[in-house]
Amino acid sequence: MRHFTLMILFALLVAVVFALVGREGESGRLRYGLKIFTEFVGVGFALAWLLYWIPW
Amino acid sequence: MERPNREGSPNAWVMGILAWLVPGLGHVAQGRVIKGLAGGMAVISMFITGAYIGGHIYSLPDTSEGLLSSLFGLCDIGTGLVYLAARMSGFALSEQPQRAMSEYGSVFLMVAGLLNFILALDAFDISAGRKP
Repeated sequence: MRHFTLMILFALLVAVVFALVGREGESGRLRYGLKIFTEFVGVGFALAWLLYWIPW
Repeated sequence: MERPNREGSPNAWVMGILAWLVPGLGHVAQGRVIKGLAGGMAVISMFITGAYIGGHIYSLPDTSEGLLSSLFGLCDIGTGLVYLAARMSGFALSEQPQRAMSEYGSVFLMVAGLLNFILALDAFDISAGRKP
């Protein structure tokens, strides 16, 4: 399994639980879940780029 | 509108403990079947993925990585009976450092436990009347 796939899977599963617990109603949950998922993946990419330039 | 406060009621504790023992059961027992099943599936998928990629579970008395190991063990215990079944059957018990993603696997296993703690607290809150 590739690192990227793992990151996506991690973000997806965490977003599902956070959405279920954090919001009520289908549309609220869906929007919140998508927001959490996007944030996880976005921060993952940002950190990956940042770490790429750090030589140690 | 003020919600009834049932924090001390035994039912809330029973729901919380049920949710901790079997991921999702606390919600299913309160009639929130889809929420319970989705949450439980997410936790168990996280656990299985972690084990599949070579992660291993810690225990509270574990000191292989210093005091942190006990903290990791506390996280792992969050999956309740899934954790107990894994320990008793020897599933995902041994470290596999030769596998490239074993460290990630251990993190997946810990996060599965932490997510289930969140679900258990949610089931408690619902039963106690703190959440709609």
